[in-house]
Amino acid sequence: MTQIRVETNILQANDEVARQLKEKFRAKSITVINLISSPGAGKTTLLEHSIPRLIKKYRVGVIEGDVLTTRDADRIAKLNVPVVQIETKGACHLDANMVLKAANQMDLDNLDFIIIENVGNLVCPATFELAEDAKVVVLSIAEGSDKPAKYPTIFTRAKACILNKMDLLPYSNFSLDEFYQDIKRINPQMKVFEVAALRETGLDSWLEWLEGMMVNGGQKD
Amino acid sequence: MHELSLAQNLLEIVTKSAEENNLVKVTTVSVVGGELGGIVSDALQFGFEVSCAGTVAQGASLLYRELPALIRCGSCNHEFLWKTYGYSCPQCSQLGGVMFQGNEFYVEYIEGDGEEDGKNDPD
Repeated sequence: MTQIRVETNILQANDEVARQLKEKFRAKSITVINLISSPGAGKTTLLEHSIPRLIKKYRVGVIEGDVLTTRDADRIAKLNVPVVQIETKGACHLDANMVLKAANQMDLDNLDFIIIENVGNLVCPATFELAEDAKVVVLSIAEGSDKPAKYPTIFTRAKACILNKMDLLPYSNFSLDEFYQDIKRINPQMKVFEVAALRETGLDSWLEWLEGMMVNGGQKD
Repeated sequence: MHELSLAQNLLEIVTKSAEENNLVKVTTVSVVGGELGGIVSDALQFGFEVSCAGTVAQGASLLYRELPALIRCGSCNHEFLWKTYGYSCPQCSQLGGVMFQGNEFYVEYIEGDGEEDGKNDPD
């Protein structure tokens, strides 16, 4: 009987692709955001109302992840920004290799931002690095204020949280107190933006934060 | 639920390590996962059993050890359990700090028999 120390990261295949891709994005001064939420929290709607303002100053591309259909990519394409749809055909998350293939279809010399809209799922996407500068989690009021405590992995790894559908607050039992108490405990460094994307309220500070995330201080060569 | 594909990644690492170390049979695989790594150990176990069929690791037992998420206080360096205290230091009440454990997912060691072991031990 022999024991062999291995000490090897099981996600190394994914993480290595992500690392190389991140170097590529850095070299092109592209800031990459990985948008994660449950299905229906409003990721695409957030983009539909954020991108028209973002493209006044920056060149934005979108990578859309869905299990099936190109519906989200069709919605984003109407904003006249480059978009690549990834259909995972059942897989519950995007991985770095899928993003690499999508990025190869984009003109990286002419982009300041790539926003990756992950597959709607609050669990699995949290585990896979996609060469992003930040994970941003979207939580909608209708989902309930207990979600950060129940799905902590994504909330510990995200740099920002969009609390979406704030206009539904009076019609729900969502407790802002409970939500903020849990966030303070789980990940106090995470920024929270209260937004109603469809009503276009609360978008200013979220967009300012995005600008602040720009690699190399926003200087494009 | 992506543990089957993770189990296949795991098996690749195990078979490569077995080959490099001239093991003809792998009997035990020890995996360490952080509390916040998002890994379902039962699903990984099942995926591993399925993936191992017909390989050097067929029949190997998978030992899964979970590490609690730990925070180091940015003010007094006290280390404490994230699950119990969140980011709020129980020693100095400072809010913040750094999570230095809890997101791991790696193969710690494998155990098995080399060709020599087989000769010495006919069982």
